[in-house]
Amino acid sequence: MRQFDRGEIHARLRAVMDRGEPIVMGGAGIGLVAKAAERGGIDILMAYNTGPFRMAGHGSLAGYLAYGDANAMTLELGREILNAVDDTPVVGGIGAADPFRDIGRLIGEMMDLGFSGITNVPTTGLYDGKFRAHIDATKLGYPREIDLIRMCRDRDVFTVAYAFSTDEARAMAEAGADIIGAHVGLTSGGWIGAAATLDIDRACEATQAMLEAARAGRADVLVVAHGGPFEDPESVRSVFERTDVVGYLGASSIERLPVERAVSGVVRDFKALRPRATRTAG
Amino acid sequence: MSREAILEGLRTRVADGGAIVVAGVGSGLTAAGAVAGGADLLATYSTAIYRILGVPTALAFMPYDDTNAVTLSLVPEVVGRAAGVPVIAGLGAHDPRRPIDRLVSAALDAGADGLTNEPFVGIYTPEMRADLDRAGYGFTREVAMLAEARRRGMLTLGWAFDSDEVRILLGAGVDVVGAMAGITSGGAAADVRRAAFDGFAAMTAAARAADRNAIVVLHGGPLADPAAVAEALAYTGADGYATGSSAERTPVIAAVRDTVAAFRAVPLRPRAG
Repeated sequence: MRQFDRGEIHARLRAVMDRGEPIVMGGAGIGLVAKAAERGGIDILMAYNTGPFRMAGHGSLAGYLAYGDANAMTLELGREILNAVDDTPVVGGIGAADPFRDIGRLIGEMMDLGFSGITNVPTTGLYDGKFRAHIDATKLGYPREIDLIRMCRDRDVFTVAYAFSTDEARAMAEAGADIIGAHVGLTSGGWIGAAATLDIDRACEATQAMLEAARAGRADVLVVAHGGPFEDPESVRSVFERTDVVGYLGASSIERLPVERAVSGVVRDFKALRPRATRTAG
Repeated sequence: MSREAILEGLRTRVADGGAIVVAGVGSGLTAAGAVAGGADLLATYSTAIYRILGVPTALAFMPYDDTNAVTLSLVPEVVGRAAGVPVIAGLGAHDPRRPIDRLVSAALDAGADGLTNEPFVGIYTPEMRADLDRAGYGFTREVAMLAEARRRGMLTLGWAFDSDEVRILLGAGVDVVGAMAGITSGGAAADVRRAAFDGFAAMTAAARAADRNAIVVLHGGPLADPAAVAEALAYTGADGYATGSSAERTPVIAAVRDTVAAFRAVPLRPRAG
């Protein structure tokens, strides 16, 4: 495990971009995925409560229902992930609406554990409509996440902020987020992915709009693509070609989808073998 | 108490012309108060517990707690203060770590007579509900939990947000339909209030069309006081009302506030010199 300070992470990201490579960031809900992602050259690992649900075979959305203490889960996941990697910054999620913890102290606890940065997950940006209006009215909403990012920036803690609209992207850039993840909805694909997402054209437009809003808020903010139809390298190629993002942040696409495919495929291959002992049976 | 005996009690109450009151309680103390007031049924669920803790009830729909563990731990406390009034536990059917049959067993073990589907995914937008359904955590799973509870002899209260859900719940054998207008907001604008009343009326009519004897209770939206409930019952023909903040947070805060203020108004004997 190595903990990186904010300057070190920026120097590494600068080098990646100078080589013409994308910044690739990925969620890890178990240590094995973190290790494999590091071997593949991931630039930043993301650890938050949706990961363990994903890797337990449930949808990421399970991390948005009331069946677990999200921040306790992320602290537990940190103990697992941080020791599984050698030389990769790990950013941990904080659910800023937690009514049972002081967020300032939680940032300290996460950094003491060895995280190299903080992100706003679980985020209220995933809720919308009447329920979102209700949680905003009861002060559990997105403004607390903006405060979280600002608090981290004041302490020189590296941050990745998920934003779902141009207003949120701009506000997060102004609050000092180092990277904005332009979130275009729950990731599609696989067995339990989102039922309906934006098509690639509209997702690219939404991504570019958030990017421009973020840069209007602070010119040097880095913006990466995330979610919706951007579920594999082919779809991500289009967002790299059609927008000014400098990279991609994948969670389901980095761990759930490849594991679903790889494990079911290899089991199928084993099942396709025919043992000599049973070959003539029947 | 057996499901049949509870239902008979509810039918008698309605036949006598009295509104059924399902009291939502988040503590043994408020349960005792509700029983003293004559509640027909007690319901305990995580939002009631959160309002007693003084934290926003939206927490029952956000990931900061194990809502089923919270509710299951409170059920025995409420049962202990229920003095024979049937107790319904509200459990989240979408719990990824607890299969439905275990949830029902846990509610029975805790001493609950009935089960209801709270927290419900009806609180979220249609898009999020579609994603939840696809991942296996939707309304479908709430219905499956209630059907399992019914199969095992529990009274079931099924919360619906629209007429389609009412029909699905009754089709699954649910005993009491809860017509839900969302979070209680009280003094809403006239058009919002009318829309909520029309929603209640449509759900009540859908229930009666599916089953002439269906028992329907109302909750939420503009129903924050007895006058609004009287108007809604007259408008819809529903059988009763499920209290929430209206019979717990609001009266508790008012009573404690006024009592403390009254003590604080007591003057000291004038100090010498």
